[in-house]
Amino acid sequence: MAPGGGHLALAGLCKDYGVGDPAVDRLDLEIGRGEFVALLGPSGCGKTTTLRMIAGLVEPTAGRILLDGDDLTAKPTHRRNIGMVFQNYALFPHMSVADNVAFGLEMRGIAKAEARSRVAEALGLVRLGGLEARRPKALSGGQQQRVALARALVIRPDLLLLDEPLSNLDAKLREEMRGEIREIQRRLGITTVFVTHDQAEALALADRIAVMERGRLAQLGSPEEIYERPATPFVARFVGRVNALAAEAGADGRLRIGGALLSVREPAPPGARATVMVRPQHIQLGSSGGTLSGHVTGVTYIGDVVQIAVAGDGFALTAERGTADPSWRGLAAGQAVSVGWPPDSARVFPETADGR
Amino acid sequence: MADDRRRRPALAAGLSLPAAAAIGLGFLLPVLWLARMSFNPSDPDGALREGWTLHHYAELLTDSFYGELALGSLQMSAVSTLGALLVGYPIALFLFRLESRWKTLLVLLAICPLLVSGVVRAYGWIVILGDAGWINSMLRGAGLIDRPIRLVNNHIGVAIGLTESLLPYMTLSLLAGLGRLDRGLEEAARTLGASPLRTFLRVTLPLSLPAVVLGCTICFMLAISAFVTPRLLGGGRVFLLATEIYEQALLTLNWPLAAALAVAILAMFTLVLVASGRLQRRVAE
Repeated sequence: MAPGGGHLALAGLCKDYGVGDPAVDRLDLEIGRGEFVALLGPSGCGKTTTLRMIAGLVEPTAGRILLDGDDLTAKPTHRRNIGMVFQNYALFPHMSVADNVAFGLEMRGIAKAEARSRVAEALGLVRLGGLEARRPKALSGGQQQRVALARALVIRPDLLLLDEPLSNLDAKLREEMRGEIREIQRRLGITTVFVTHDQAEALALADRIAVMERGRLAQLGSPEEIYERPATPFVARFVGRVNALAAEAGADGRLRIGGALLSVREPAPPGARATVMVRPQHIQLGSSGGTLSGHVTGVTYIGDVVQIAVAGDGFALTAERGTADPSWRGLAAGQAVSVGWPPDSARVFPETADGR
Repeated sequence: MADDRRRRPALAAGLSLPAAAAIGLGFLLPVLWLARMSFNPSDPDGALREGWTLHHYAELLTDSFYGELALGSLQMSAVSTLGALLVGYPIALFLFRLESRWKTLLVLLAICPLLVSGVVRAYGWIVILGDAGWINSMLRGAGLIDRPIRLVNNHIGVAIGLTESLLPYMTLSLLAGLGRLDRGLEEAARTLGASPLRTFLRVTLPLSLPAVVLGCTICFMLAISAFVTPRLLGGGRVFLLATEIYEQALLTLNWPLAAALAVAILAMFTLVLVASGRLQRRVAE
C-alpha cells in the first residue's frame, strides 16, 4: 500500500480519441502522499496522456481524478495547483529566469516582496542563484531544466508532474539531474508522478513504478518487484534485459527445451507451451552441471559488463558477467558450455495466460 | 551545401542576376526617373519643362492642403490596419492552431479574396453599404431608421473597404510570424495558474507581437498606397495621397507634382520600415 494513504487517485480513467484503441483504458491508480510514482512504458502506451489528464490538459473520456478525495476531473487546469515540468521545459522565452519562476506566484496574486524571496529560495534549491536576469535561451539544457523545476516547485503545488524531464539531456547530466530531482522531491515531500520510457530512470527514481502497455496498467509495484517478479512477459522484456526461452510442458507439467528438463519453480499446465524468462546475469555457464548444453557464439565486451551469447538445440540466450568477475576470460566462440540458472531466477509465462 | 555556395560566388551572382535585373529595370530605374521628374519645372497648364526646381516640394510643404492629405492618409491607413489586425488576429490564431486535414483549405479560404480584383470587391461593398444597399434596406425594413445611413462615398466606406482588402495580407503575415508560439508554453502557463485570458495576455500575445508588427507594417504600406478602394468607395469625396497622385498625374496632368507626391509617400514608407524594424527588434527579444 502507498505510504500515507491515497493522496491522488485515478479511478477508471479512460481517454478515447475515437480512432483505434483507447489511449488510456480504465486506469486505476492510487498514489500516496509524498510518494514518487513513475509511469513507465513505450511511446504510445498512454503514460503521457495519463499525466496530461491529471494536469487537466486532456479531458478524460470517462473516470475520475481525485486529490484528497476531492474530484478534480471537471476543474480547469489553472485551478488545480499542480507543478508540471514539460519535456522541452516550456520556459517563456520572452521572460527572464526570475520572471519565469515568479509567473505562478504572480498568477496567485502573491505580493512582490514575498514573491522575490520565494523565487530566490526556489532558484537556490535547484542551485541556480545568480542567473535571475538571464533569458532562457542563454542557458544550457541542464540549467533550463532546473528553471523549469524551480518554476513548478515555487508555487508549492499539491502535485509535481514530470513529463520525461530528463530525455533532452546528455547521459552524464541526466544521471546527475536524476539524483537531484530525487533529493529535492524527498526533501519537500511532494507527491510526484513521473513519466518516462527509460526503465533505468524509473528504477532509480521511483518508490513505485506503474508499467503501462497499450493504455492499461501492466504492473504496479516497487522497482524490485517490477524487475525481479515481472507480472507479464511485456514487463519482463521492457524492464531490464531478459532471455525469453520457448519451452514445452510434458505430461507431468515440467518444462523442457528439446529433451532437457528446465530448472523452474512454477509448473505449467501439461502439454502447454510457455515462455521461460531469465535475466542475463542469472545465467550460469560451466563445463558441466547445467540443464542445457550449447556452445558460445560470441563474446561482446562493453566495458563494465561482458555479454556471452550461447546457442544450443532449440534455444539462444545471452549471459552477462561483470568484467571484474574473471570467469568469462578464456571463453571464446565455438566453445562448448553447459548453461543453467537458479530456479528462483526464472519466470514462467504459459502462452495461454499471455494471450498474445 | 553551404560550403559549396561559399566556394562559388560566381554561380550565386549568376543565379541572382535575373531577379536583380528585373528589380533594377522594373523598379529602381523607374523610381529614379520618377524622383528626377519631381524636380522638373511645370507650366501652369501642367506641361513638363526641362530644368531643376524645388518648387513642387515647396508647394507640398507650404500648402496646408497637402499636410491634411498626408494626415488623412496616415489616419485612414492606421484605422484600416488596426481593423484588419482585430479581425485577422483571431482568424490567424485559429488557423495556426488548427490540427485538421481541412487546415490548408481553410487557409486558402482566408486568402481567396485576393483572387477577386479590387475593383470588383469595391463594387461589392457598394452593393452592401450603399443608400439602397443590403444594410440600409434591412435597417429600414426593420423600422430602425427613416433615412439611409451614409456608409459609402465617405471615410467610413473607405475604411471598411480597405480593412477588408487588407485582411488576407494581415492573416497571411500573422500566420507566417506565429512560428514562435508553442502550445506547450500556453499549457505551462495554465498549469502555473493562469486563466485562459491571462494566458493570452501574458504568453500568447507577447509571443505573437513580432507577427503583429510584421502584419501591421505590410498592411500599413498597402493601405497608404491603396488607390482603387479609396477612389471607388470614397466617391470622389475622400482625399488621400494616392488619389491625389492620380488627380495630378491623369486629370491635372501636373506630372512633376504627382512625382513629388509619390516621393513623399516613398519617404513615409522608409520611415515606417525603419520604425517597424526597431519595433521588431524590441518585441523579438
